[in-house]
Amino acid sequence: MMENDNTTPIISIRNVWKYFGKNAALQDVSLDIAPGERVVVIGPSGSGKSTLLRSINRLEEIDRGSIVVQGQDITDHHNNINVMRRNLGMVFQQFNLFPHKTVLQNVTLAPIKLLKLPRKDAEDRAFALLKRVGISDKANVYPAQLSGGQQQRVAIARALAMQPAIMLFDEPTSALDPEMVGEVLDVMVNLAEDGMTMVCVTHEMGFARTVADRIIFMDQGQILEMGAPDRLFTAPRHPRLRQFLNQIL
Amino acid sequence: MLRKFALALLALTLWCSPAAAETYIVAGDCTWPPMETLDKDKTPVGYSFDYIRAVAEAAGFEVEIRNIAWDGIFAGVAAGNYDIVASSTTITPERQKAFDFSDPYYEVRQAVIMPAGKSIAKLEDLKGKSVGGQIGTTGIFVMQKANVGATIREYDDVGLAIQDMVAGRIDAVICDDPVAMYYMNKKAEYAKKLNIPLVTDDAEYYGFTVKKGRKDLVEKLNKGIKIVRENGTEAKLKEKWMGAAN
Amino acid sequence: MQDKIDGQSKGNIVMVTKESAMPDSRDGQSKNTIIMVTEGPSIPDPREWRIVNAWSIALAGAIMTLCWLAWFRPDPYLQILRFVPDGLAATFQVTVLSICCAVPLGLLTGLGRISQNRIINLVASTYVEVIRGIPLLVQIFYFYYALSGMLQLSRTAAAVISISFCYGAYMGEVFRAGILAISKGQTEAARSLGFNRFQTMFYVILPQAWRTILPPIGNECIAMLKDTALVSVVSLPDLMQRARSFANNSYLYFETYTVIALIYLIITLLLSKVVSIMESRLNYYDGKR
Repeated sequence: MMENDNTTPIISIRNVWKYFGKNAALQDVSLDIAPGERVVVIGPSGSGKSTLLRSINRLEEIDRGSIVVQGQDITDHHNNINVMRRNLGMVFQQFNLFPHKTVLQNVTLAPIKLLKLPRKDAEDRAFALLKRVGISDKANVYPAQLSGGQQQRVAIARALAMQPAIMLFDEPTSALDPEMVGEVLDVMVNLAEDGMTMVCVTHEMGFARTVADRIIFMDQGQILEMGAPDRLFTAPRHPRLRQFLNQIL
Repeated sequence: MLRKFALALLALTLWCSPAAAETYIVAGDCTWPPMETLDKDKTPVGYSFDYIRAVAEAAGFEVEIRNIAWDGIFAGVAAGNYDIVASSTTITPERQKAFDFSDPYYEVRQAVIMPAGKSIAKLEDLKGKSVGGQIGTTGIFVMQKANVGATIREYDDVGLAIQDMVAGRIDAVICDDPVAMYYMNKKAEYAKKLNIPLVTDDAEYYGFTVKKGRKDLVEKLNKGIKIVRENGTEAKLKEKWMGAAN
Repeated sequence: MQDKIDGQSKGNIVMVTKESAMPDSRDGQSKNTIIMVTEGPSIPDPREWRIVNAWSIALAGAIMTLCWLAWFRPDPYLQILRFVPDGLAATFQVTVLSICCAVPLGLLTGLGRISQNRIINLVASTYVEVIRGIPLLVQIFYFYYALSGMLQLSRTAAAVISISFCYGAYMGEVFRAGILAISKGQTEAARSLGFNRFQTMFYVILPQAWRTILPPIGNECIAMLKDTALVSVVSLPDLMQRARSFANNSYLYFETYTVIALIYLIITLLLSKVVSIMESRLNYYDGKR
């Protein structure tokens, strides 16, 4: 194995088990993700794909195995998870913007409070990000006044404001009206083109096909197949993947 | 169904109303020993109650005694909830405006209780001190009229006031002298903790209180009091409750 | 675009998780928590701007009755009104001090009740269970008379401590319910940015929970003002004791307590309006411009 920055995984998931009661949501899952890699996780509902994603920044505590992010074991309670999470931006299905804060405050809150950035610097950074996601004109409104697509773009800007090395997307377009899916995916494609490491759980196969370096197919808590999108979509090997693709395409 | 209910209601009303026409309900606040208090079985006992029983027997009526809180005891007699208040009620001109009274049945003075070792020579010495008493009693009125510059603290019953004085949060308590004597001499927990440095000169007279206009009842009470006094019952009761000294 | 409001804007957000059930038992509770309004006059709806409503009728009626009585029958009504102001001051003093102690105590209790630390949780829960099982009047007697052997409290201190302890327990439940009513997604969003538990609570959860919490807390404060009437048993000369003194001197029970009832009514009505105004101020981010 070469000790080289490009091949050392930025995320290394080893033999991870996670139970909800007696139900094993993750069964002996292992996965390496390289720096700059764009990984899309697909699978039916309840396959454990969101649980896997949420385990990476410890929103779910795993029961066995290890997850190492940038050389640090996130399951080790001696490591400060709050500091490690700064490097792991997360975007949720339900946006989860802070409703009592304006768009600008949503984006500047964490940099000001956690990175101790001066307000001016944080706002400059926020405006640049809001411009990038295309809603700099809405900086001073409250989230409730925005459409779902706009809210999700703000949520992306909020995660980016911490300048994370990795972005985690948990079904970012599933709660959106169909006409708003495009605007959010555009932002994500744009992000991918900039070389951000991305792990994305989604049902958007078109997006997966154009953006992903690698597709992971999960079912019943296990990774059943992975590979480049062209190969995986055109020549699926596992019968369950074939069945899944037939159902959704 | 409705008829049954109405009958039951009627029966209840009859049951609640005095069984015999000649039974009067007597109210007393049983926090004023030895005049009115509760014994171990929670039965109202005391000088006033024994006295009203003797009066009733002499005048030919029956009494039923009830324990009623002092605050509001006059409102209850005015409302007709009971017929007679036998609760160490001093006859005052103000009270006479609102109620009718029997002839006096007992004479008291106001006594100032202080912790053992503390003393005053006259009411004016209470200037700047805090003095407790039971709300709406003549002790409080005496302090208000004397207006000596003391802070007056009003309690729901005199026992609480004495408790607060023993705890050191007020300087003195003012109440009727038999009550003061009782707390000083008969209550084990206050033995040697209290003294009575001052008793006022002005005598007050207890009377039985009835609703304004109940002349019939006042007449019966006065007749009874006269008999009780003349046949020596009063002297026996005094001996029983206040001891030979009185 | 401006007027397009997402369904998320109304009320509490219900977080839908596609994956299997959340491990946290809290999640089992209903998200759309309705906090029961306890005693006290109902808080007027801030959006209710009609002149004639229950609140304005009650207030105008109470004030007019009081003025009418004082003007046309100054003896005794004006005398009563002159007799009670210092009692009113004492009532306010006890109420304000109690609010200042009970609200932070309630917040601590609420946080303790949802704490994952088992000892803190147990302490807070036990406190709530014990205090809620004891009548306030008994607590007042306890702090003032029963403990006087070891703890010399002044009247005001005993009153404030007993009322604060009592209402702190009730408010703890309100805070707890209000905090739990905020969607779990808010906590996750804050934690995923790197906020710790404490920061998440104070920057994200409490500012939102406060809106749900305020009306019932306001009601508790109004109930508290009414319950200060109990402190006259420790000979604290509040409004209620002033009334009792006057009535016991004059034997004018009807007149005295009519005036006192009207005064309490006017104060609680005004306070409920204050709470209502504060509530409408907190609705600024509701999506209505």
